Formats: sequence, C-alpha cells, structure tokens
Amino acid sequence: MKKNKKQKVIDIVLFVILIAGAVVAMFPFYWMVSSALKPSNEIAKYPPDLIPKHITLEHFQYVFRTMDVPRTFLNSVIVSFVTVILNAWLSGMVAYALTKLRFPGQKILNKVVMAFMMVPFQLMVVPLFLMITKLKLLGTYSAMILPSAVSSFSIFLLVSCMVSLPDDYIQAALIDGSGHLGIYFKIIVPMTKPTLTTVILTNFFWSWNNYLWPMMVTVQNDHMATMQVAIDRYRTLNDMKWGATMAACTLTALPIVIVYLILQKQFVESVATSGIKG
Amino acid sequence: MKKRPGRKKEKWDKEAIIFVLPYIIFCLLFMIYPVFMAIAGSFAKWDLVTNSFTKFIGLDNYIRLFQDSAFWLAVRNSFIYFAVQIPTSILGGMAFASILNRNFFGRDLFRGIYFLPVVTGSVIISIIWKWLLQSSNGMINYLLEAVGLPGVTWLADPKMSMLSISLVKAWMDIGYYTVIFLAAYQGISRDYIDAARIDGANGFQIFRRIKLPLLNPTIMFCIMMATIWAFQLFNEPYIMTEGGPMGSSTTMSLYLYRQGFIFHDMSYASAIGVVVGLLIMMISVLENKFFKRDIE
Repeated sequence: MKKNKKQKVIDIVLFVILIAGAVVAMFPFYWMVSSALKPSNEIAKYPPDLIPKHITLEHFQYVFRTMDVPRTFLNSVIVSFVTVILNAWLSGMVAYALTKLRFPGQKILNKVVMAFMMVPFQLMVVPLFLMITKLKLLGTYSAMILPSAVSSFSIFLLVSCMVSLPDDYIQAALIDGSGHLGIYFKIIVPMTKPTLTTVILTNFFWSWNNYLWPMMVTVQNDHMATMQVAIDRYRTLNDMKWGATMAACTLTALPIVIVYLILQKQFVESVATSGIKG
Repeated sequence: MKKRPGRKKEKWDKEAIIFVLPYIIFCLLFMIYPVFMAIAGSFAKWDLVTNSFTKFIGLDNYIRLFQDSAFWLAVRNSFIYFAVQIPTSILGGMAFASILNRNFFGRDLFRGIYFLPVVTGSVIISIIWKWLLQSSNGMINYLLEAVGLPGVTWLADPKMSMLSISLVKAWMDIGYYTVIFLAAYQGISRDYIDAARIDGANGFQIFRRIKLPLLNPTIMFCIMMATIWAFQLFNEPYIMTEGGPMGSSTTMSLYLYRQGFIFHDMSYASAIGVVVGLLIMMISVLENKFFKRDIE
C-alpha cells in the first residue's frame, strides 16, 4: 500500500519533468511565431509581453515584398528531391552488388564505403569548390546536388538490411531466366522498402536543412538560394529587424514542420532504427 | 562466407558493372578526387586560377598551423563543444527516454515534441536562439531576471559564447537521442528485467547491470556520430556569433572556411581539413577502444 503511494508520487514528478521538457522544447518556436505577429514597437519593448497584445501581419507582408519566398521554396524542393532520388538509387544498387553479386574489387569497394563514413566534409570542401568553379557550375542546381548524391551512411544502412535477405529468391529468379536488374527492381526493392524509406526520409531532412555547401555555391546567385541559405542572408540584411526575421523564419520552418507532422511516425521510427543498427 | 547465387569459382557477375559503375564515377569525382587533392594541396602552393599546384612546400602549412594561435583557439573551442555538448545531449536524451519508457500516456506526443527542434534544422534554430539570447532585450535574460537571477551576456562575452552555443545545440539534439534511446529501451526484452526483479534487484541495479550493458552498442553509436558532427560544427557559430567575440567561438570548421574562402588560402585551409580528419579518426579509435574495454 505504502509502496504504491510512493510510486504514484514518483510518477507525478516524472510527468511534471516531461511537461517541463515539452515546454522548453516548444517555447523557442512559440517565441518565433509570437515575435513575428507583434507590431514593431512591441518587439522592442522591454520587459517583453509573453502574449502579444496586438496581432499584425505587417512583418509577413514585408517579408513577401522583400524576399522571393516561392522561388527559394522551389529551389529547396528541387535540390532535396533530386538529391534524395539520386542518393537512394545509387546507394541501393551498390548495396545489392556488395551483398548479392560477385565482382573484382568488391572488398576494396566495401572498405572505401566504410572509410568515407569517417571523412569530414571539410576535408573535401576546398577541392570540391575549385572543381565546381572550374566546371562553371557555380550557382546551379547541379552544384548543390551532385556532391550529396552518394553517401556512405545510406549504403551502410542498405547493406546491413540486404545481407539478411535469403539468396533463395534470387537463385529461383535466376533459374527462371531474369537478370539481376529485373531481380533488383522486382524483388529486392519491395523487400527492402522499410530501409529504403529510412534512407529517403533521413536524406530528405538532411538535404532540406543543409546549409554550408548550398551557401557557398550560391554566393553570387541569390535567386538560386535554398530556403536555409536565403533565410540567413535575409537575417544579415535585416539586422536587428527581429519581427521581419522571425516572420521569415516562421515561413521557412513551415514546410518541413508540416511534412514532419504528416510523416511523424515513419520519420521517428526511421531515426530510431538507423540508430540501433549502427 | 555464404555462397552467393549464380556463380562458379572464377566467374563473376558481369551485370555488377551496371550496379556499381554509376556509384564509382560519383565516388571518384566527388569523394576520392577531392580528398586526394586536399591532402596533396596541403603540401603545395595552390594556384587558384588554373587549379594546379605550382610548388612543393613540404610541411610548411603544418608548421604554420602549429604556430598559429588562432588555430589553437579554434581547437580549444571545438573541444569545449565536444566536452559540453556530447555528454549533455546524450545523457539528457537517455534521461527523457527512460522516463518515456515507463509507459506514460501521450508518449508519442512527447517524443514528437522533443524531436521538433531536430527536424526544424540548425539554421532556423540558430536564428531563433540568437534572438532569445540577446543580452539587452532577450527573452531568456528577462526570464532569469523575473526569478531574481542576474542576466547573462550569452553570446557577446568571450568567456560564454562557446558554452552558450554548446548548450543551444545540446537542447536541439536531446530530442534526437531521446528517440534513439527510447527505441533501444524498447528492444530490451522484459524477461530479463522480470527475472532480475524476482531475484530481488532494485531499479538502480537493473539499470546498471542489465539495461546499461544492453544499451552499450547504442551509446557507442551515439558517441561516434556525435564526435564526427562535433568537429564539423559550423552553422551555429557562423550564424549566432560569426565565431566571435575575438575568435572565442570560432570552431575548426569555421576557421577552415575563413582561411579558404575569405582569405583564399586554399592550401592552408586544406591542411586544416586534414588535421580535422585525422583528429576525428584518432578520437573515434580511442572511443572505440575505451568502450570495448568497458563491456568486458
């Protein structure tokens, strides 16, 4: 009886901690939106009002006048979609070859893939930039997409999934006369769907939020900037105009938060499995 | 080795070419070639216009790095971040995961909320926190003053800036580790815990003797990933402080960026890149050894 009571108190304390954690996690977002909705004189006010007294859309209107929101959105969509498709396509094919086929240099290729998990982007960034410049690709979608088209982490995830697939299916299909390409697309892809989803989702969020490289290759091409790049440039141009900056932040955060709310379950599970498999 | 389908001893699958060739081309162009050029370029004078090496200069860049006090400051800053952000976020994530693992109602909701900062991305998070941490009219200082504490110069004080950035990033990553550890907890079979309970083990003993060893691979994974990310930290200091004040929040990546793309000293920047790469490798190997020993 007594123990039960103690248990209840502990449960209540823990629940309060959870709620406090949720408040701390949400508050910055609340503050972003509420700052975006306050008139300028209320933003500068100190002490600040926790709940805005007046609500205005002036900052949002200002942002739409001064920043090409639809274009940056389109840039982000194009870059991340093409990156994700290329990445999933290349990684899946390689993972199949590494686990189910036999070819010369297989072991070396396996080692190369693993080694590049540890190589920081910083090590490659200088030659990459010079190469992109020399190819006259600065300020193009290709410049933003191509270097992210392969990633060892995607291959690693797919390899660890395909290794456990039984060879019997492939054997049977080979006897029936199909080639490996057909087998890959008709049998392997459907069987590895959960892992492919993980690869696609994690890459999508990564690509959408990528900043350094897209920033570097669009320095002289503002109209090509992705949302992440554009929002930071906007902040620098509107220094101390926090209302406009927060309105722009809200608009930039909106698409990815909506995608997250729709795909929450799949996404959280993707992250969870990729973490455990390592 | 398991037998692979469709082959005899010396034959190999010709179709493999279709599968690996696209990857090999991408890999050569966008990974192997840049790494090779960066390593070679760190030992040479680099002509930017023709993108060619004009003179072999040996270890000059590395000697210069060794004597460069701004670089050492960047190393120090990266290590402050490494020492503060990784333990805070991983332990925080473990703590929230263990609470959520007690089958509270609304678990998915909490998990979803904690994960929101991770999804939103570091650029927006950095800008919001720059606004929250303003020293004169920032919300955080207002909240501190409201409960009677003095305000803090979060980002403009050289002593605080790196710490503030580490804490913001820890706040952001806690949700990520919560998700990972919650999944790991749920992978632990109830049988072990029930058996231990019957044997009279208390909550702490169960955690120490059963859960912790089973969580070890997950902890290992998190620390390895966090290490790789820690030494590549760029967005947060670049946006929140631009590495200042007085270089107090310049990380190695930020220093590399500045040397390479502001001062256009590509060869020197490449040397920094090589050092960052080596450092990540060394620390990962050490961590690997340390935790392997811990399991036994």
